[in-house]
Amino acid sequence: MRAKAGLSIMLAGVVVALFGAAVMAVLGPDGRVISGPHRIKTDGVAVVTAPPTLSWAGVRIGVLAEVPVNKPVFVGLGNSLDVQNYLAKTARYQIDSYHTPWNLKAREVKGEVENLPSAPTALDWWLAQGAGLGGASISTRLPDETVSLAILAIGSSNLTGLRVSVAYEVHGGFALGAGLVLLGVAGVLFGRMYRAGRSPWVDGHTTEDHEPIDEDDQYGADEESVEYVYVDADGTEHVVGADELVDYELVDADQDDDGERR
Amino acid sequence: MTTPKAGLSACLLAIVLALSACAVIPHKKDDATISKVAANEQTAVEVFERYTRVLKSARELGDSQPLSTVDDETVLAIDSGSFEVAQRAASKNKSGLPEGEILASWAPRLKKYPLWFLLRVKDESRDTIKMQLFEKKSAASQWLLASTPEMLPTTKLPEIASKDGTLVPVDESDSRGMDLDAKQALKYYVAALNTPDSPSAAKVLDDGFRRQMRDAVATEKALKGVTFSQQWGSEGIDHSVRTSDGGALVFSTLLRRDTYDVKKGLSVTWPDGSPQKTFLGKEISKSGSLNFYHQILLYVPGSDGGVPRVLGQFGGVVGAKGD
Repeated sequence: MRAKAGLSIMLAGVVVALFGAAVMAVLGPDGRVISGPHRIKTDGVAVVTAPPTLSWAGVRIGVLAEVPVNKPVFVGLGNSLDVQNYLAKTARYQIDSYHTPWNLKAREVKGEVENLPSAPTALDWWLAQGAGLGGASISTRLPDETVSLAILAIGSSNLTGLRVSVAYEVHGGFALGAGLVLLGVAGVLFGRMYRAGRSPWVDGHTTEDHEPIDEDDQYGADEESVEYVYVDADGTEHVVGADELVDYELVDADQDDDGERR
Repeated sequence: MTTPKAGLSACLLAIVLALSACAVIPHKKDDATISKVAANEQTAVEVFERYTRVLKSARELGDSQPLSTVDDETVLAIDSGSFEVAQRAASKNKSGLPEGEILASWAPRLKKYPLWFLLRVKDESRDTIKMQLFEKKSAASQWLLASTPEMLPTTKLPEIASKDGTLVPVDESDSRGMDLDAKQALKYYVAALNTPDSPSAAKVLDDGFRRQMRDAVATEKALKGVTFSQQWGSEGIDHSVRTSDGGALVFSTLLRRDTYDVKKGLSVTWPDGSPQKTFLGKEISKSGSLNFYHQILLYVPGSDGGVPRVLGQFGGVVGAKGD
């Protein structure tokens, strides 16, 4: 029973350690996974994620949008209530679902107008935003509220030739992986000790009820050789083995002050 | 007795815990509902300060034009009217320069635009308390002052209810916790203003605003050779919020039309600086009418808390027609 439980703990430790190692390998020391650049085919002025698309929170994402010939471009992350209202009348390329590393379900949504209602840079509700010529990027942690990502053309420009790179960063993810590896190693060690019937907290065997064995019992249990010292009438010490005791007619050291156990 | 093995185990555990604490664990969102708190406290302060700056500038210039960037349509109409009266009277707006202080702010969690939030503001220049409602009609528009009824400093404002730190909007047809829903209460109040002795008038309080309007009517009706009439209507409910007693505070805009029919052969003049003279000209000899907006703060108490009453108002002339 103990052997099986110990083995199970060791196996669980191995699994945890392997998972931790995988996390470390995937995320790397900076805790990031980068995908892209990926081409998005649109001639419009807006690319936007539908509200359920960014369904995770706590992960830090980086988005880099690049457009050719130094066209001005904007990248922003905002509450979906704001982003949806802002782009409600604008024709847009809408990403309805997204799976890593780059698996999109997207469609062109017809709008009443082809342009944006106002300059995105003038709005105060973006949670994160970036703008630039030829490229723009943001790096932000996804919050708990429902958010949408928007890549927008600025001015009279459009998003033809848009290429997008996405990075995911789990803050402290590498350390977490390392922690899992250590936890797994600890699990393996513990499982091994448990299997051998040894407590990780004391240096010795355990009884069934895990209480340490009495020191005297330990000696008794050992198969060590016992030697006796015999002091003769002249005060000279003689070392004798247990099998030689009969020649000297000695009694056990515990009962005789003339002999002592070594 | 602890040993190196025990120490090693403890160290491993400590390192695991420490490393785990460094990580922010990504998680799937529990709720995909689209909503947001209309404005946080910082936004509310920034919007109010911007409004105060523009109002101050407009008053210094004696020109209501800058207010178009901070006032919603109704407030702008009232403000423009008061600026015009002041301009015709060749005086600066007598309201003085604004010196507002935010006493409290509330914002609801909303699922769609328009967004709005509420401020209780002490206006030192007019010695009044204002309930200012700022509204943002779309994500691409600015915050504008949509309603600003004024109250006397002595007026007791019912406690506004909150849920999860946000105020609770009340639907105009929701009568839960009240004897009347907001829509009915407003309807009775308008009826009471139109016909003070109507059965509807008994369902709302004969408050200071009603008495003030009744006195104004009596004064105008005293003009000899002039038939005066006053009509009231409502533009509906802008917003209403739940109070702690289960009632509601209702923001609404009332329309008022004062009509003067002058007996043939007579003419009527008004004193300089009066809205009538500003909007109807030097005199009228046939008929004339003045249109007013009154933004009111109507309190519909919770059950057994009495009858609805107006706690504050902000109004003025917004147009006229006369010959």
